[in-house]
Amino acid sequence: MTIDIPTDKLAPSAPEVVLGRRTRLRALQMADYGWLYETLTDMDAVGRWRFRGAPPEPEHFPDVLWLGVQTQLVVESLQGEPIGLVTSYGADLRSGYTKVACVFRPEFQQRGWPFEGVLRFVHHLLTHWPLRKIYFEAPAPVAKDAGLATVAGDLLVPEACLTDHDLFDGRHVDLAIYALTRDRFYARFGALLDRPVEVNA
Amino acid sequence: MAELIAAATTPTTRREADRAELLARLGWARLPDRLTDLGPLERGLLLLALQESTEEEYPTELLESLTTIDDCLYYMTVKRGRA
Repeated sequence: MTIDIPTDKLAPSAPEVVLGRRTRLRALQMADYGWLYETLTDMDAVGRWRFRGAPPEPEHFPDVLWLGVQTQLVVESLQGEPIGLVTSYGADLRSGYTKVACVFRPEFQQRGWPFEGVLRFVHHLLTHWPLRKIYFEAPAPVAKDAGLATVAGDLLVPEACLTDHDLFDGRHVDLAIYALTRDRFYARFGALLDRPVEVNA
Repeated sequence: MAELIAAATTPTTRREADRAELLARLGWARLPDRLTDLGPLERGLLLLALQESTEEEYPTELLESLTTIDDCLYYMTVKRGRA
C-alpha cells in the first residue's frame, strides 16, 4: 500500500537511531505509513491499539497517528526490517508522566525479543525528558493477553481500574492502568541497559 | 554431609534451582510449561531473564526456537557446564 503524505506530516526531526542488541529505534519516515496502516487496521490489532476499533481514513492516517503524540519511533530489526511502533502520548512534562503504547506487526507479536525495542524506548524517554512515571493502559482482556497482569506488582504498579469503561468486542470491559516508575525500571533493567551493546542479530 | 551435598546437586534439584532462579528474576508466582501460553510482554521478559541468568546473548534464532520452560532450563544447564 502506498499513501501519499504531505512533507509537513513527516517526523519533525532527522532520523534518529537508538541501537540495541537485536533491535534499533529510528524516526518514523514516509515509507513507514503503508505497513503501519496495514498493521493498525489488521483485525487482530484494530481494537487493541490506540485507535480502539476506529481506524482513520487512509488520507487522515498521518494526522491521527501523530495526535497527542509526544514522540514515537519505529522498532526495526538490525537488518532494517520494520517490526513495530512505540509511542509516547498524552505526556504531561510538568508533572512528569506520559503514556506508552506499542504495536508490532503480526508476525513479530509472539517472538519476545522485539520487546527489547520497548525497553530501549522507555530508556530513551527517561533519559531525554524529566519523566517520573510511564503509564500503560489497556482494556482488561488486552492487558491479560499481553501479560501486563502477570508483571504487575513486580515491575508495573496497578494504579487504577476504570470499571465497565471500554466497549470492547461487543461488551463493556474494565480499563486497566499500570504505572512504571523510573526507579522500578532502572532497578530491573539498569544493568542490562548500562552494558555496552554487542550486536547480536 | 556428603549425602546431603550429593542430594542437593542432583540434576532434578539443579533444574528446580534454575527454575526458582528464573522465577525470582521475573518476580512471578509461577512459570507456565509452554511459552506459547505467555503474552508478548511475558515472553520478552522471560527471554531477558534467561539471558541474564546465563550471562549469554543467545542468537535470535535460538530464542525463537524455545517452546517450553524445559527448553530454557536445558540451556541454563548447558551454559553452566552440567551434564
